[in-house]
Amino acid sequence: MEWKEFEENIRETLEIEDDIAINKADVLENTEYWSSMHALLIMALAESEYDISLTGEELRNSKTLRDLFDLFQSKAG
Amino acid sequence: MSFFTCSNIRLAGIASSVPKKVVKNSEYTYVGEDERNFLMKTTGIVEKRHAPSGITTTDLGEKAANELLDQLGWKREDIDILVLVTQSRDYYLPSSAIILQDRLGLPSTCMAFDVGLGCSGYVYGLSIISKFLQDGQLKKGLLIAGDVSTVSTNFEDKSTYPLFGDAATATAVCYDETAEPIAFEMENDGSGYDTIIIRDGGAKNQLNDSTTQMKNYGPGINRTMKDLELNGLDVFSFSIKEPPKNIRSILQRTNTEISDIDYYVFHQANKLIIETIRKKLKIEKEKVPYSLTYYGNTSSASIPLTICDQIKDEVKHKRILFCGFGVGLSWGSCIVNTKDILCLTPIEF
Repeated sequence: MEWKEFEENIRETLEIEDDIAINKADVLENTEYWSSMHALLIMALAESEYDISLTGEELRNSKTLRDLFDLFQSKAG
Repeated sequence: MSFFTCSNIRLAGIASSVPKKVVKNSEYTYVGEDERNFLMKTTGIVEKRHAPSGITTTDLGEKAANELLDQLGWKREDIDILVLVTQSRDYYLPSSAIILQDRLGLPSTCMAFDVGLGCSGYVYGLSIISKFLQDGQLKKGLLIAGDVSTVSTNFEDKSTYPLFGDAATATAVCYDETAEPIAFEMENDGSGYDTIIIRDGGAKNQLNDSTTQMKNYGPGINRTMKDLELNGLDVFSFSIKEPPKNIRSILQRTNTEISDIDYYVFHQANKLIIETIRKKLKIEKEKVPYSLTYYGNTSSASIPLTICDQIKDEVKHKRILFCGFGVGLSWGSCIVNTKDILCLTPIEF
């Protein structure tokens, strides 16, 4: 999985406008595009688009966008 | 994995009852407007019904059952079994089903008992009543399923309050040798017992001085120990992972293709969960009805309420898959081949 594809999917899923920059180093809790409900959308994205099952614990442990990307990559195999 | 079939069982009718009081999520002022709108968009829940204080599953179930029995022309004295699926029984004891047996005018020879399950409860309840009826010694049964969940949701807990609504349903089930077998596949996982839980008030943690003290558990989440607690991430993870596996398994065991099923009636947890399951299994949108938009998550009532509200005139002679999942953790599916079945429009209480 490439970062660009992941970024596009994250933008679409979380409805992040194009003029808002997102970076791997973003601390999720400090961004406007993240909340507990948004985390559910990421879980749904993983399951329906990538056939990846994420646990609540794995998402809670993902502090940055890089952590999320790494999690998707490791699960995608 | 518990897979089994029940022969000679026909669903004769379904009725549902909901309280009159409508509570709109657009007026849930505990959270800001943006969050409110995002919540409605993601969960799909626009409004739900709240029972007034003192009105319980027993009252709503009685209303639905009386209407159904009258419309079917079933005599009260012919009912052999009453199963009430609820997690909001009237009293710690006795069973609410026994109170309902009397209030419905059913004979003392009608066996009656409660089943303490929530969102998976309709499928479990149907399996129980079907097993009792399948050999023909008992001929007619009533399955009552529902909850008044709003007695346990705290207004200051945004993770539960906007989601749940109150409802109860009655399903008339009878012995019929011409009916096609119903297949069931049931599962559970007690390691997730505290994913959805009310911590105090049972024998383990009895009501005490601190039970009603409000505590904060994060932004927008205040509740007491007598309130419903729901771990959203873990519930979501479970809900999009296990039910699809369960459905694939029951389809495989019954040599059924996804496209062979006319309707998939899911427990109405929230729209995002159901849509994720639907996409994962590649089920056509038209085959997945929703009642949550105007009734919210109605626990064990959600499957029969969805039928009554959305597809009541289209379910005769159809192959329908019911899938319930939630608190326990508990989940299961069944495949029903309907015959003549009477489904009534939801009745206001």
